[in-house]
Amino acid sequence: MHTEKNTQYTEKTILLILAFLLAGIERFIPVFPLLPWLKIGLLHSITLIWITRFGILDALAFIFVRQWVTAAFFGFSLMPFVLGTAGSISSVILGGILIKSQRFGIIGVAIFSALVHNITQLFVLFLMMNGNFVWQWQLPIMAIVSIFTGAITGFLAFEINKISFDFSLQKTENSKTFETHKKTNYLAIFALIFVIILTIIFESYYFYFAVFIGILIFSKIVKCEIPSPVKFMKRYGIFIFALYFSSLFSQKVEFSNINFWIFPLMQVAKISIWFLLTPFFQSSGFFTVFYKLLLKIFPKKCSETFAVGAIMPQIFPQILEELPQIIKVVFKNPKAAVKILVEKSQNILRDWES
Amino acid sequence: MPRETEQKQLWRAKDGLQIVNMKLFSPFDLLILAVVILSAFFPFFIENLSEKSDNFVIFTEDEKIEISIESDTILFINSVEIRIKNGAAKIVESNCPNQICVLQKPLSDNGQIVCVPNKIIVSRSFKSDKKQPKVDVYAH
Repeated sequence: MHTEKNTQYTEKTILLILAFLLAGIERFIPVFPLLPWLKIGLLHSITLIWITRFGILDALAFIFVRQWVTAAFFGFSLMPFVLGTAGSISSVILGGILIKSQRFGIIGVAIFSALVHNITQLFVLFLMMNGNFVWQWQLPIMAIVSIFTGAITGFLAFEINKISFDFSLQKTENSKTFETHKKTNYLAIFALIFVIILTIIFESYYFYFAVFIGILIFSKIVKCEIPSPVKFMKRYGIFIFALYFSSLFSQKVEFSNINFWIFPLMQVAKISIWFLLTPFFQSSGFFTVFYKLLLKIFPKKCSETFAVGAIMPQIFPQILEELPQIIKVVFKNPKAAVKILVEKSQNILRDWES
Repeated sequence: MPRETEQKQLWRAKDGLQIVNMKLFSPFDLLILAVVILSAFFPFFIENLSEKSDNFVIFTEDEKIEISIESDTILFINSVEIRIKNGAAKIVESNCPNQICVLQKPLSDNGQIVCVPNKIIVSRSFKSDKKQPKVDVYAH
């Protein structure tokens, strides 16, 4: 019964869950005052593991999957999306070649791919800004920064790789492919794309309030279950509070000003809307359509990565409910926390499939 | 290697999964480190293409605005508020989602403040056009 397909399926699911959690954690680190554009890129440790286990092509598929699903959970904004995708593609290809050569340590590879990631972003910016962008000022800072961020992600990848060694021991019996997964509703998908574009253009309380009412009404019509307030806070409460406090410290409004306390609420409203929209993404088959398109570019053996991406929006909220337990353990014993996370997600996978 | 781990590895191999042992360090990593550090100094080796101007140069999507350093002005471009005061330029307010341009420290000498979504660059150095003679826009 233990086929190759099932093992990879479980392993990929758990790695993807870890990637989302790391992406979530990173979003709630306050901005470093001198270098506001700086991001550590914690989730790229998972990308490195993905390359070593499943190859470069599959890692490219992983990038598209995680870009879309993180965007669906934590909000979509155009510039980081474009820059992030461009940077990740080039760094996966070049870093993957280094990994395949098997001469370099993981920290070295991580530092190199961080540099490639940054240089690609600079290049894309240079093209966007009609060549007025002076990259000479940015490159030295970016190179020095990538040594530190690369070392962090490389070390994380090494540690996670050690723990995740036990993944394949407990397996799920059947794996569903996303083709048979659910019927797609094209009208709903167009509506969702419309809402996404609107959230990029408009940023005001009135608009968020309108979307909120829209979601409430629409969920009754389509019979798509949205979580009750209690369940919503149980799942996303940690994220919402963390986001509020991190955005308190990453703004330049004076402490005594009322806006200091009010402005972060905008971010909270935005992310709550995204959290509320996720059931719609799931039930309309939004990702399924997207992954079917991608499968025309990628070879058939990558289809499993997309299948994992398609079930993710349903599994991830359930994982979030278990977060408080995991957080209790994290500070005492981080490795044990990851192990708990792995077990929980395996249980949820099994429940979901039966 | 303990026997238990060995068994797990065998199991994985049977499932067609690669047995992955990551190296944390390797001597070749020093090579990468050297490349990265060299790339940090790379801009100083090549010919400097940018020139320093006596004015603040603000690039928007299709035009170039020069403003003297000593001036005390507030500029509005596409709902981006740029303030120049005491020889320092700063983007005070912007409608972009990440607010990276607003968080950047005031610019007085080197560097650039960039607002990517609005395609605005505030700097004191710019790419020189060697074919054209320099025209002082401010004097016009």
